Amino acid sequence: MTYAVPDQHEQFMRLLAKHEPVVRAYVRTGVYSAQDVAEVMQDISVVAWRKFDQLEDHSGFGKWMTMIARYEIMKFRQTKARDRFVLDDEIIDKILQEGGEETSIREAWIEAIEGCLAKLPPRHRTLLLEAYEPGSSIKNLAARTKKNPNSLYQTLHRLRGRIANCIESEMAHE
Amino acid sequence: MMNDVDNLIGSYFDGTLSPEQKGAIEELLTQSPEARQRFRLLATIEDGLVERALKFTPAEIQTPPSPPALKETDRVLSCRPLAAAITGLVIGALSATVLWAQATPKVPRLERINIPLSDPGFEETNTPIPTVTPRVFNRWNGDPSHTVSSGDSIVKPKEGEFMLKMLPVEDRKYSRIEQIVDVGHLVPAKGGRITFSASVICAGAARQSKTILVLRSFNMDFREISGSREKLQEQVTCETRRTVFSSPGSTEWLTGELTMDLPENTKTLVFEIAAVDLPKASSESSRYIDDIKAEIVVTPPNEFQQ
Repeated sequence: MTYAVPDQHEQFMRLLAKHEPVVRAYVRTGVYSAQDVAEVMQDISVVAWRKFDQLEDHSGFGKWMTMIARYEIMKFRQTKARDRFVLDDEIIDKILQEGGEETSIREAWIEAIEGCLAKLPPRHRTLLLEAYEPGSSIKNLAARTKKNPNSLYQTLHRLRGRIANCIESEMAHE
Repeated sequence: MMNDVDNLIGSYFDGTLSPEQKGAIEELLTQSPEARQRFRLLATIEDGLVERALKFTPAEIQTPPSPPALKETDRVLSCRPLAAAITGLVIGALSATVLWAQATPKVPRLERINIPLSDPGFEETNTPIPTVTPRVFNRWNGDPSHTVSSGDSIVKPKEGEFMLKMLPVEDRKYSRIEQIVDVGHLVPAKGGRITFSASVICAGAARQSKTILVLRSFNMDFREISGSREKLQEQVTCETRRTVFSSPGSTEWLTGELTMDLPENTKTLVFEIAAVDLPKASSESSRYIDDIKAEIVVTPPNEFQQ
């Protein structure tokens, strides 16, 4: 029995794997919780696969996926319209529209995260990663680190801000 | 100024925005292109940290090359350590006189119930289905991967005719698959012990590589579980990991096995396998998975009765 991987499927999977982090980061700008990102990404992947044969130039896969993503994000947001954390649609659409033009910048941001994370003192780096570990909660982390939850939130905001400043600084020097 | 913006955006992503803060952030994002770009940058960092934290596994345990079969004396990672400790103390205090009188404790008989994982040996060529389809139950889902009959001249399936070849994900140091399984009808109400094993081979690796088995239990019905991985994580009642290390140049299948206590009323299990530091597509090295097994080990209630 022989088994051959369909060319088109493999090609799609490789392109998807290559561009998935950038598209996912884009999706994160449009949905407020990390939990929703995976759901929207699945919707985007399904639509992209269905329409893949219409994409003539595969070098534009990332941008094409981003266009699909913008539509799927706005569609997803309709299901969350009553959520008190959801920001105004017009604002998010503006953010997505501007973000759709900066795919290569987002790629550079993603590449810089690891290096900037490494520049944090080890205890801060550990704290930040523990906060994002699957199953982690601020309440439990605060109890474990003997911090007030509000103060822990502030610390995490500062640490993310430091990473953002580091990334901006690296971009400025390129 | 940027600290205020970061705090507002941070509160938004943390889900802790007050109504006043929500108004403030909307005003800010409407007015300021710089704030909008900072928002996109922080969103990218948010997502990057979620992905990065998946590789942050300080509690990983190294698997010996040939793990022994499950015995009563095997260390079980329990999700109820406090309850177990208290129970142990109470039982110990109540039965102290009985224990003094017994020279040889009775070894309980174990019953094994096979968990019907779908396509555990990847013999069905249509699986696993990667992220192109929404997550479904009782089948493999996850990152790009293929079922193959033989990866190269060296690697042959561990069992059957096919095995899974995991593909690298660009800009990510791992690739993963998972299966959500309904076990409500298999797990006794008071829980049980579960073993989960998989065989791994990393052909042509120039350095040590690792594959992580992860098992999570839930009290929710499998139909209540959404497709989001993070959402699932909030509902986990127990989680155990086991890492399989492949040596450079290894050409043999290694079997990793983990054992976990299942909490009471476990209804759903999520089996996950993550290949870490997968080589790039251009490399000649590849990661294969085959022969996945899972079974629940139950001690009949009357076995402990004297």
